[in-house]
Amino acid sequence: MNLRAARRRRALLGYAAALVAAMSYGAGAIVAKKAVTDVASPMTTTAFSLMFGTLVMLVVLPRMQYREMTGAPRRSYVYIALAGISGVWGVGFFHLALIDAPVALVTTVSSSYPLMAIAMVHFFMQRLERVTLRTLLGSALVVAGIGLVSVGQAV
Amino acid sequence: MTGIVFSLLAASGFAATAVFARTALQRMSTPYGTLLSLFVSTVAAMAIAAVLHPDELLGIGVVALGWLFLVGFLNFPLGRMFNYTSVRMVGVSKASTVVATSPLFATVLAVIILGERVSSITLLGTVAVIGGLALTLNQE
Repeated sequence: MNLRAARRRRALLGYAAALVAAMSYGAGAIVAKKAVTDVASPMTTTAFSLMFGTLVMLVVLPRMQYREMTGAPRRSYVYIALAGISGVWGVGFFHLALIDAPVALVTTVSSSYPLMAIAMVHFFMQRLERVTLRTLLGSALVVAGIGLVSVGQAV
Repeated sequence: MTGIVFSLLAASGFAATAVFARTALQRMSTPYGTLLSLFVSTVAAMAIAAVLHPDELLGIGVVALGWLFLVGFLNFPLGRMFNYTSVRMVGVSKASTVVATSPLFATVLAVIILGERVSSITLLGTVAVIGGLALTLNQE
C-alpha cells in the first residue's frame, strides 16, 4: 500500500470514529436528559456516569496497554489530566447553563466549540496541525446547522 | 445572559479537551489516554458532587444507578474513546467538526424513539450540517 492510500485509509477510519462518537454522544444526550429529569441532579449524573465509564474502560482495556504507564513522557500525563479537567469544566458549565437558559440556546452556543478548537489549534498547535479554509467553512456550516436544528426542535 | 456565558464556557471546555488530548496522545495510546482522562474527570466530578449534593451521592438507588451506567457507557467508553481516536487520526479541527454533529443524531433518535415531529427549520439545519460535513470530509 502506498503512502497516499495509507493516509486516506487513516483519515477514513478517523472520520468513522468521529461519527461513532457523535452517535454515542447523541444517544447519550437522550438518556442523560431522562436521567437529569427523573433520576438525579446533573452533577450527580455526571459524577456517577464518569465513574461507570472509568470502570468499563478498566475492564476492557487490554492488559498490555498498562505497560505504557512507565513508557509515556510526563508531559503527556499532564496534558491528558488537563483534558480530563477540561471535560468536567465543559459538562459542568453546560449543566449550569441549562438552569438559566433554554436547551435550544445552550445547545446552539455550546456547539460552537469546533470553531473555538480551530482557533486554539491555529494559535497554539500550528506545528502539529494545519487549519484549512475548507475546514473552517465546513465547521462554520455545521455549527450554523446545529443551531438551526436546536431552534427547530424548540419551536 | 448568564446562560449564554455559561454555554460559552462549556464550549471552551469541550474545545480545550480536544486540544489537550491531541497533544497528550502523540506519545500515549488512545485507550490508555481515555482511561486516564476519565479517572481525572471522575475524581473532579465526584468532589464537586460531594460538595453540592452529598445526600444524593450517598443515597442513590439501584434503578437510578442503572440509568447512570447507561449514560456513562454511551458517553465515555464509546463517545470519549472514539472522539480521542478521531482526534488522534485526523486532528482536532476536523474531528471536532464531525463530533459536533451529535445534536443532529439526538434529534434523529428523538424522532425515531420518542416520535417527536420535525420542523422545516430542523430540516434546513440538517441540510447545512450535511453540507458542512461534506466540505470538511471531502479534503482527503
